[in-house]
Amino acid sequence: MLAEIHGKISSDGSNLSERLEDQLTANVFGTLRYLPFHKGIQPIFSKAVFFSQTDQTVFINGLAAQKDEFIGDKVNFWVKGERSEIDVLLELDHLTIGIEVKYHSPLSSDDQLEREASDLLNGKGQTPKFLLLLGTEPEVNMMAKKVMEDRKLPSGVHFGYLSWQEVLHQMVYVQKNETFNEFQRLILEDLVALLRKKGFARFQNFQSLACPLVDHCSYFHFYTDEQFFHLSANRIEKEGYYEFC
Amino acid sequence: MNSVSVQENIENAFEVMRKTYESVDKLLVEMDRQSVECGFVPVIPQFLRQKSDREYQGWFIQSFIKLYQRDSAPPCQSGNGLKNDPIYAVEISFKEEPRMTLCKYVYSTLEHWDKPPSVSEHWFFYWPLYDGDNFTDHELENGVFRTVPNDEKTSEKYGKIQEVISKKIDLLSITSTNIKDRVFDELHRL
Repeated sequence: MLAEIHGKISSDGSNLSERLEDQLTANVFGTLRYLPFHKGIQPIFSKAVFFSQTDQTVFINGLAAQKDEFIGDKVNFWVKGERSEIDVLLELDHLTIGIEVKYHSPLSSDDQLEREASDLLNGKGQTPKFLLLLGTEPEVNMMAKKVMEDRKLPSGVHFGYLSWQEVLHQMVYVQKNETFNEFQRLILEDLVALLRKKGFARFQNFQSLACPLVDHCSYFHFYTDEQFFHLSANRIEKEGYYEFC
Repeated sequence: MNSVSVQENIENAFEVMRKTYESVDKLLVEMDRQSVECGFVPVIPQFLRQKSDREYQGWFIQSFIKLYQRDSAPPCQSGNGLKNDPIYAVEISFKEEPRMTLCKYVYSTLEHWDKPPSVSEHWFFYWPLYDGDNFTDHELENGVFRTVPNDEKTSEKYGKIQEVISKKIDLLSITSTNIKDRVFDELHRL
């Protein structure tokens, strides 16, 4: 819905295939903002990975300090800055989080995150600024590591990453929370089903393949010692062809 | 077996294969994720495999090889994208019982390689493990094997390989929670 409202997906859906990333962004974050902060976004985001322990601590403390349960109005989509457009921007009471969402595509340019980080820095408010790269494992881990090694991000923005697989993993964990009402439970069930459908469930083990059993003695076999077809060598008559009618 | 149950059996066989491939796909992704935490980096994002249209055995993949190097190792000075250190590999094999082979390929240097291996260079890592005519195995201890090329020509053919240290484990014993212990810690120990 949000992707269409924001003009990312055309109303006739003609550009849907190249906009799957925007649709996923809108479906997940547009829905998550309906949930109480401490039952949705907070536990999920708490699994973001940072490259320094200090960043991790500031981030976790900032999330924990958020008092309001309803933060729907603090979640904004495709926010245009001077040099970039941030997919999701969360302006919380104690921290600002910009999220660059990736699904199937790589970063649009070498300096995309750099531009987003600088726009985050120039944004209003004095709260600590965080830039999160959200993508699919294992690529997101590698991309984030490379960004850190290149050291091109402006100082003052704390950079971290989160994977779709981890988001799903946390959602499944959050589902065990027994204080959800039936509306909230349904919202989460839908999100979990969507992310499973997208194939974000992680490897568990091979044991789930115990059935169906396959008997290796009853395989399919072509008998090659029998004649299956015969080519007729009769003279071909003009206009005597076979026709479907 | 009547035709209905043969039909069901074929359906089951393909279903089992599809599901197995799905699990392998997820396992490879999970290994790459955990490799970073365990001090390894994938050499290339993809796995290596043998495929062929000419032989039906080559229609489906029975051996998947994923390559890693130690993150802390120094890069080759020749700028070939590799680290000048052994190449570690995890082979997932369905040729017999589902099996995983953990390997360390040791070369005198990797400076002379011009680029990282490509997806189709599966043979380059596969045959040192399975070509008993050109390589010789010795068991060291606890199921760890040392495989060496029989002559200089074979060593040259496989990138000047000196030896492969390997250990086979049961693939079905691998779960999401023991990958670090059973795969990456074991690779470090080879």
